[in-house]
Amino acid sequence: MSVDSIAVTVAAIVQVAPAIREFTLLPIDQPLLPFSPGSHVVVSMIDEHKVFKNAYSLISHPWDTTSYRIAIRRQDISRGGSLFMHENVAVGDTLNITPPANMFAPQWFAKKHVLIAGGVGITPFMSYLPELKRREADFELHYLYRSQLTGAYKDELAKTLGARYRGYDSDTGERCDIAALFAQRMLGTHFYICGPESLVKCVKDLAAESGVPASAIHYEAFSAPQPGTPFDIVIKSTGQVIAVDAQQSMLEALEAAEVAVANLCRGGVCGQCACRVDQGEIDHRDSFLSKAEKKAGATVMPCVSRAISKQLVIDI
Amino acid sequence: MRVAPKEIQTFRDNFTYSNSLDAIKRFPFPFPEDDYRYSVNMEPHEPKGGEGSVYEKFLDIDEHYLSEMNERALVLKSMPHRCLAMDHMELACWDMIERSMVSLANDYPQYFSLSCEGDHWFWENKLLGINDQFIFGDSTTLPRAPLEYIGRQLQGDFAILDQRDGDLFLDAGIITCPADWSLAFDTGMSFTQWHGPVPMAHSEGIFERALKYLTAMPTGKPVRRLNWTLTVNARMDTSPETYHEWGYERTTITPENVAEKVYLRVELQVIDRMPRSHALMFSIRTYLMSLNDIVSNPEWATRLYRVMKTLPEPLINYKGLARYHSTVVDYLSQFDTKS
Amino acid sequence: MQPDTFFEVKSRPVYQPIKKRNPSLQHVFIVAGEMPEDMATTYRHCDNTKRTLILVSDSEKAKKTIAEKASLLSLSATVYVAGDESFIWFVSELLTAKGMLPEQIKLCAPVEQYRTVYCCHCYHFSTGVTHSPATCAGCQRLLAVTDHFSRKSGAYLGYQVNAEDPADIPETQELS
Repeated sequence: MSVDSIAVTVAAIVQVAPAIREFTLLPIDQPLLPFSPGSHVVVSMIDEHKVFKNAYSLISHPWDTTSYRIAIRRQDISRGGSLFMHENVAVGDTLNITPPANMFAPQWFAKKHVLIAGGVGITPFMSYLPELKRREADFELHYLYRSQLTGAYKDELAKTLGARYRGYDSDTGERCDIAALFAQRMLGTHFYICGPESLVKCVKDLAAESGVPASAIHYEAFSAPQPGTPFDIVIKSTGQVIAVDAQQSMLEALEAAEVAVANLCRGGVCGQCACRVDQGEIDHRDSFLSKAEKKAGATVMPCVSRAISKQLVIDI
Repeated sequence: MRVAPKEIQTFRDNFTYSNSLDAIKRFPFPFPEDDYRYSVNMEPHEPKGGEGSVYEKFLDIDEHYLSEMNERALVLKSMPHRCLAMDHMELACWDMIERSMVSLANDYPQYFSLSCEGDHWFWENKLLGINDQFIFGDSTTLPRAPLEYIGRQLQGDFAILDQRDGDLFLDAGIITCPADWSLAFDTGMSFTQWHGPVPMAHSEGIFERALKYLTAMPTGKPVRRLNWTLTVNARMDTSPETYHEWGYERTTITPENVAEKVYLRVELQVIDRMPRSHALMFSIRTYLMSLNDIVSNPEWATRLYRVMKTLPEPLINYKGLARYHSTVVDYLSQFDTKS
Repeated sequence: MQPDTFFEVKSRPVYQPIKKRNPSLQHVFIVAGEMPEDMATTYRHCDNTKRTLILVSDSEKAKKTIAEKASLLSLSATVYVAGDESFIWFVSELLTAKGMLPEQIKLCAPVEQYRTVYCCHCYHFSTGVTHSPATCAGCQRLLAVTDHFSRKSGAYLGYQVNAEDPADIPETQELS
């Protein structure tokens, strides 16, 4: 299911950490909708002939319909979406965003919420806070960052959250004892992780060792499509051949060729963009398909996966 | 041409309910093919069919508005638990209030008006003589619990589904005109569980696909589908709770009265993502049309005959049609254009 | 209403054999009646410093004890429950309300085949039902006992079997 675009203007840009920029977006012709905590929007950035589309968490108050705010970490080694946002977008520019979608909503039945943020992974939790407060929910926020690069909003968070907040600046030697986060926890405690894949994996592994049920751990890993060797897609029904270059994802190449594919997270976790593969060897890079499904090689997630063979015949 | 709400008619006792010619014209006839099969069959809930069509507005208000609100009030008086909302659904109920009031005020300004000063809201429903003000999000400022408050002003049943763990849960609803299912019993069930009794569709993977589609729905892109059954008399409340009151009616169908007493009952189901709560609002808008009125449209008559003739037995049984199905088929056979 | 259907109603619970949940640090066994074999095996495999056994003779009285004990459970606990179907789901709902997740609650397939039936006309729960149709203990209506199950109430949906024709009553059949 594809979603429409909402045109927005960049009203303000603030450097909130050495490597993180915050953008305030104002609606142009459509009012903005309120959203649920943990929601993201997909921002389309057009650079000459290339379209980048990246998902970014909304950090503004979920009930504020006058503007949306997102905060983007500059990734130098990437396909360029964040670099584009940092270097080519100025106040007054127009961007297109999708309506908010949510794949990381709080588990409201939790007796206690333990939030673990790594670097720019603080962003989805910013939209959790107003609702956690409104529901008078019990929560803690553990913020792991490197002050030379990240740590956006740390002072504001420390001030407003008081004892509920703990910051760990690894650039000054502060380390978070993650295993200790699982000790002595009551039934109904849920843990939420957002940050680099390495942090997510570490937290999940330590939780499992402590006997914490897997369904008490919720995470949003910031994975984006990675570059790879160029290859061709062949659309089985029409025979159309679409080139995928090194810096482009399959999904982006399909969209550029005006072949619509339903999508949602664009990061290989939600399963929405799944396509049947007729021929070719898949380079699976997603976190959605099972081991068996990957081995069978009949389905691919075009948002992050690529091809090992020179061609991939997609049955759409 | 949309017809204004008319005087109150009844869906019980003496059944004074009737459809005007306009109501017949705009009726959502649900069969696109001669064979009926379950399918996910969802389409974007966008305006279709022009001015006055049942698909023109987000919520359809028609000539039966006052009758249906009267009927709802009667049901809730004797069975208040036909409207319930689990505690954690409060925000979702407010989402529904917002969605409904904004669209009704926008789409039917002659009947409804909404003005907001921050979170201080002023709502007028001229059809029911309601003039209220309240603080958005504060249930203590409403004369009734949020779901009941808004549900008593909308045609059709509403269920609100909580989304968690990649599944949907039936955690709130106002259900006074169900096609034979019990909110009280089904409350708290997951998507697959509350669809448990539906035959055939599970093995075809229909519910699995539907669940995947629904859980990925973003805000602002509602979808709709049609569901159908047959009902004896223009009875709105065909609930399990009252089955002992209406069940016998299925034995009263004869070749003489079948056209007048058997109604095609169509549900226009609209599903919309609620922005603040991430819940799904599931509206079940029910349209009743007697066979007499249906066959005034020759194409509908022929199509309905063919669908009824080829309806698989598990569906005949599941929809409760067994006792009078053959009488319906015999009656409709005269309209088959095939010789 | 739906009469007898010849397919599996998807709301009916399907029970898996009991296995020890590793690496849970606390294993609690709640047994009303006899301890089933797979549960006994699991019990034996648990370290005796990490396991607790609660034997239930009176289900009603035990509910309070279980609620109290549940408040003392840690996040890594697992609870294994055996008894009749409405008892095990009652305990499951209680534990869920205390914050336990489905993977932490292991329910043994009930040994007995009797059911609790919810009458949708008078809302009464009739216990120990073994045949369909069954007389509602609340309103005396003759109820068709369906396979549509509610975990919240631990009961199957029942509706008046002869509401359409009082004389049309199907043969009594044992429930399986």
